[in-house]
Amino acid sequence: MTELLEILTSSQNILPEWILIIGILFLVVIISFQKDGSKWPYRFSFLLVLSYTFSASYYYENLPNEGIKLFGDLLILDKTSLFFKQLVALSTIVFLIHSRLFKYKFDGEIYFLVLCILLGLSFLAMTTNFLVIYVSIELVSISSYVLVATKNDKKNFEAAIKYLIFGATSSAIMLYGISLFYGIGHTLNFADSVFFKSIATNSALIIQIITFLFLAGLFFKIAAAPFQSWVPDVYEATSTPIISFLSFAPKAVGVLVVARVVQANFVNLNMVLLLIIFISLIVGNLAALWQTNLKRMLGYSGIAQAGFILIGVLKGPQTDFYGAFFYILTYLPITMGAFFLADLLKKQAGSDEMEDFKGIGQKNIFLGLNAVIIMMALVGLPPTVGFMAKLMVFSSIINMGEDMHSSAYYGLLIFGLLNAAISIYYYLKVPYFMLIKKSYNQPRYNPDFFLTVVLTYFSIALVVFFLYPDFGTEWVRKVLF
Amino acid sequence: MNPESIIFYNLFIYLVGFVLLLSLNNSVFKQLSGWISIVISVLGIIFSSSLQVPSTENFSISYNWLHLGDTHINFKILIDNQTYFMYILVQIIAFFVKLFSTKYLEHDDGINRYFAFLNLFVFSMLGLVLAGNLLQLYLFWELVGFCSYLLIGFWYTKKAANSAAIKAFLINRLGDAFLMVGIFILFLIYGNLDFDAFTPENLNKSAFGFPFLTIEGLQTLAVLMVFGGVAAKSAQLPLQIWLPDAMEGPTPASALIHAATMVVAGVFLLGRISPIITPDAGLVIALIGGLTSVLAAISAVFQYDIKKVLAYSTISQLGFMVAGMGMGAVGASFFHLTTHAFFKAGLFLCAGAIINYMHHEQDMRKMGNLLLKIPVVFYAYLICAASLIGLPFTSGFLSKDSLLNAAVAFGTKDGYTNIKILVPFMMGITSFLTSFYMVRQLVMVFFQRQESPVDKIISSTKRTFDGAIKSFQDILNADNESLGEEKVINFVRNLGVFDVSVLGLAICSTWFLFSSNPFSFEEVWFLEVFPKDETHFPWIPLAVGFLFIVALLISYNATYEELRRYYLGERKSGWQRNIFRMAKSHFYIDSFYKKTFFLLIKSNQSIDSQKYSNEIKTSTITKSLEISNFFQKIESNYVDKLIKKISTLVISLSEYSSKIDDKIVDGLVLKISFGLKNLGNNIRKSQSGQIQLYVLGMAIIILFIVLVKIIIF
Repeated sequence: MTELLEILTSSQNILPEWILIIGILFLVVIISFQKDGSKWPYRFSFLLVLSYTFSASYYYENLPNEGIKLFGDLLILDKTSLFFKQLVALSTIVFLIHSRLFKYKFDGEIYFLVLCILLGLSFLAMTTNFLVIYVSIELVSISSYVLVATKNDKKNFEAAIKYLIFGATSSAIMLYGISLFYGIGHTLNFADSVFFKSIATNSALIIQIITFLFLAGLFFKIAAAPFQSWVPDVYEATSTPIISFLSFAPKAVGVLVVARVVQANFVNLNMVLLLIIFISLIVGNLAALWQTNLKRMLGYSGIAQAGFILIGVLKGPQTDFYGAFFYILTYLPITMGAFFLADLLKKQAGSDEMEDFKGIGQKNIFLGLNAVIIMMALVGLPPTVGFMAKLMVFSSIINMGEDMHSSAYYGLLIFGLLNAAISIYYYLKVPYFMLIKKSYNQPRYNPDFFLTVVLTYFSIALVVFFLYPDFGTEWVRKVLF
Repeated sequence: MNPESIIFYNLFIYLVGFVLLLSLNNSVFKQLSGWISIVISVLGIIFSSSLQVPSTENFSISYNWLHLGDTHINFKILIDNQTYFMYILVQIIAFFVKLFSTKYLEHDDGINRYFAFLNLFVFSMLGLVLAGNLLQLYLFWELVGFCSYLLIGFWYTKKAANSAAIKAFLINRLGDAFLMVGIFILFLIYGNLDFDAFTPENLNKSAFGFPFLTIEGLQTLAVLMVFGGVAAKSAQLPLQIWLPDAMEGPTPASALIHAATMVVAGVFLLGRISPIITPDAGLVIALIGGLTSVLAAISAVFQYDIKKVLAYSTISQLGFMVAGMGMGAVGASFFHLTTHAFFKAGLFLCAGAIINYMHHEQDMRKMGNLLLKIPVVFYAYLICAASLIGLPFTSGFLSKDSLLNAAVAFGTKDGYTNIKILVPFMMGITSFLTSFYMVRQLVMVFFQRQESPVDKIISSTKRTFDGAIKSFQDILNADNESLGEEKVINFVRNLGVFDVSVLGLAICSTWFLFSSNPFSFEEVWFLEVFPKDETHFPWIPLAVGFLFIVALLISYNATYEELRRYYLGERKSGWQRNIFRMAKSHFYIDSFYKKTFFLLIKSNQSIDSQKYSNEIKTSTITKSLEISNFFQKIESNYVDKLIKKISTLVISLSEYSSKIDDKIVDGLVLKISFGLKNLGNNIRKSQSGQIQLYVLGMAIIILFIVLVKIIIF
C-alpha cells in the first residue's frame, strides 16, 4: 500500500513530464490525421514546449534545497535539475523559432523526435540511477539517430549509420560499466549509501576504470574525445536547426550527469577527466584549424568546447561546478547563435564553405558585426559573455591548483590558454572572410534584414550579459548542488 | 545661470563650432557651415547678454593651475567693465562678419575651414579678454596670432598670401619675445602675474639687484617691453609693417581680425596694465602712438588699393588709441576702440562688397560711378567714413572729441614748451589727413568722374526721400496698387546679405547707441564707468570741423587732378615723385628691414637660383658679414658630421635587430604555426571515413586511457 501511495505522490510531482508524455501521444494522433505540410504539428509542439517550460518553472514553488526523492530513489528532483530542464526547454524553443524563421518544411515526425529527446533529457537531468540514466540516454540517442536520418539524402544515411554504430558501441561500453557496478555495488543508485559502502572494499583503480567505462556513454553525448568521431559528418549533414539543438541540449545534460557522478564522490575521477580534457582540446582545436566548411568547423570546435566545459567539473576541495554550469548557460546563446549565423550565411552565400562568405559582411555590415561578436564569444574574448565563462572556468583551475598542490592543473591552465589562442585563428576566419576579403562574385541572394535583426538579439544578449553578468551568476548560484 | 557657467558654455560652443566645422570637410553640409556658424554666434550673443555685471564691482573666479615652489599661478577669469564691453563687442562684430562671409565666400572650396578658423578666433579672443593674469593672456595672445596667421594665408595657393602670413607671424613672434621679457620683469618686481596684484603695495623693493636701476626705472623698462609686444600686435612703430600685407586674406576676415578686434588686443593689454604705466613710459608710448598715426595717415593718402588705404587708416587709428593709453586717458581710448571697431568693420565690409561687385579689382582708380549701382553700400560707407573723420551725429565724433580733449589736456599740462605738446599736435595733423584720405577714397570709388558730387548726393537723397515719403503716404492711404509701396518692397526685397550686414554696422556707428546728445561726449554712458578728466575744451570740435572743410576742398580737387593724370598717363617728376614713392612704400621701413636682415642672414651657399646668385656675387657677398659664414662652417663641419655618425650607428644597430627579429623570432613563430597545422592535418586525415577504423581507433584509445590509468595509479 505504501508503495502504491509513493507512486501516486511521486506522479504528482512530475507534472511537466506528464504534460510532455501526454502531449507527445496527442501529437502522434495529430500527425497521423493531418495532411502533409500541415502547420498543426509545429503549432502544437510549440504550445507543448511552452507549457512544459512554464510548468517546470512555476510548478515547484516550495521545493526544498536538498531536493525530493521520487519513485523510491529512481528520480531526484532538485533545483539543479530544474535549471537544466529550463535550459533544454529554452533551446527547444530556440530550435522551433529557428526552423520557423528559415521556413524549413519539416515533417511532423521531426517535432515528435525532438520532443522525445526533450523527454529523455528531462528524465536524465533528475536521476542518479544507472538504469534511468541508461534508458534516458537510449531514448535521446535513438531519437537522434532517426533525426539525422530523416532528410532522405545519402549523406544523411551515412552520417546516421556512423552515429548509430558509435552510439551503440558507446552504449555497450556504458552498459558493461553499469553491469560491473551492479555486481560490486549491489544497487543501481550511485548516490545511495549502500552503494558507497559496498564499493569501498574494492581497489580505487578498478572503480576508476569502471567509472570511465560507464561515463563513455555520456562522453559520447557531450561529444568529448575519444568518442567524437561521429561529430563532423553528423554536423555537416543534418539540417542546421536540428544540429543547433543537438549541439547544445544533450551536451548540457550530459555534463550535469558527469557532475552528479563527480559529486557522489565515490572515487577520484580527476585523472580520467584530465586526460579526456587534454585529448578533447587538442583534437578539437587542431582539426578545426583545417576546416573549410563552417558547420564542420563548428562541430570540431564543439569538441574543444566540451573540453573547456569539463574543466569546470573537475573535483577540488571546494568545487561547486559553478564554472561549468555558468559555461553551459552562456553556451546556449553562443552556440545556437553561431548556428543561426551559419544558416543565415548559407542562405546568402548558397553554401557552408567559408570561401563563399567573401564580401558578405561588406555588403551587409550589420551581419558582419554580428558575426564578429558571435565568433568573439566562441573564442572567449571580451566584451562578450564567452570571456566571462572562460574566465570562471580558468579561475576554478587556479583555485584547484593552489588547493591540491599539483602541477597538472597549472599545466592544464597553460594548455587551455594556448588552445584558446589557437581557436582565435579558425573562429575569426569567418568574420575575416566576410569583412576583409573582397568578393569576386556578387552574393546570390539579397541580405535578409529581418533575420539579421533576429541574429542581433543573440549578439546583444552576448554583450549585455558580459556587461551585466549578475543575472546569470545569480541564477547559477541559486541552483548549485 | 551663474557667470562661471555662462562663460564656460559660451567658450565651449565656439570651440565645438571650430571642431564641427573642420570635420565637415567632405560632407554635403559644407555649404551650410556659414549658417551653422551664425547660429553659434547668435547663441553666443544670447549667452553673453545674460552676463550682467554690476558696473561698480569686478567678478573673478580662479582655478589652481601652476604651482612652482612658492609661486602659485592660477587660471583666472576676470570680468570687469573692460572685459564686459570687449566680450560683447567681439561677438557682435563677429556676427556681422559671419553674416557677410556667407555670401562673400559662397563659392569657395574651403568655406568650412574659413568659418572654423573664425570660430577658433572668436574663442581665443574671448579667452584673451577674460584672462585674469599675464601668463594666461599670453597663451591666448599667441592663439589669436595663430588664427590671424591661418586667415591671412587662407588662400594658401596664392604666393602673396603665404608670404604675408609668414611675415605677420614672424613679426608677431618678435613682439611676443618682448612681451615675454616684460612679463618676466613684472614677475620679478611684483612676484605675481595677476592683474589685480599690480598695486604699489605688492611692489617688492628688495628682490632685485640691479645696481644702476631704480625700481621705477625697472618698472618703466617692464612696461616698455610689454609695449614691444603691443607694438607688434597693434601695429605700432617700428613693427607696423605686417598689417598692410595682411590684407591678402579674405576681406571679411580682415574686417574682423585686422581692423576691429585682434589688433586692438594690444590696446586692451595696455588698458589692463594702465595702473602701472609710469609717466616716462607713458610719454614714450604716447609719442610713438602719435608718430605712428601721422606716418600711417601720410601713407594712406598715397595708396591706390582700396584695402591698403583702410589698413593704413587702421594703423593710424590704433596709434590714436595707443597714444590715449600713454596719456592715461583709458576711458577715452576704450571708447574710441569701441566706435572704431564698428565703423572700421563697416568700412571693410563695404570694401568687400565693392571688391565683390568689381570682380576682385582692388585698384581705386579703376572704380568710380558706383554711387548709382550699389547705393546701399554707398550710404553705409558714407556714415562709417563720417564716423572715422569725426563728423557730428556719429559715434566717431564723440570718441575722437574725447580723445583729442584728453590729448590737449595732456599736452598743455606742463606748459606749452614741453615735449608733450607734440602729441596733440600730431593727432591734429592725423585728423586732417584722415579727412583727406577718406574724401579721396569716396571720390575715387563712388562718384562719377567729372561731375559734381554734391549735386549727385543731393539729387539722389532727394529721390530716395521723395520715394520714401510717397510710399509712406501710400501706406497711409492703403493704396495697394500704387508705385511707391512697390518701391519700398522692392528696396527691401533687393537688400542682400551684404547690404544688411553693412547697414547694421553703419547703424552701430551712429551716436545714439552711446549718448543721448550727439554734440558732446560729456553724456556718453560709456565714459561714466571709466575714470575721466575734468577739463573740457569746447573749441576742439570746431577745430576738427574746420580741418575737415579745408581737407574736403583740397582733397576733392587734388583727387580729380590725380585721376586726370592717371587717365592721361602723366607721371609726377622730381621731388614730388620721390615724396610720393616714399609715402606709398611707407617710408621704406619695410625694405630697410629686409636689407638689414638680408645682410645678417644670407650666406653665399644657400641660394640655389642662378639669377639670384649672380646678383649676390656682385653685391651682397662683399657686404655680408663673416659671422654667418663662420656659423655655417661650424654647423656643416662638426654638428652635421656628429649627427650623421650617430644616425649611421643607429641604422646599423636596427639592421641587426631586424635580422634577429626576422630569423629568430619570426622563424620560431612560423615553425610553431606550421607544426600545428601539420599536426591538425594529420588528425583530420586520420578520420578518413571508414567506420570500422573509427570504432577500432576508439577502442584503442579507451584501452590506452585504461592503460595509462593503470600505469600512473
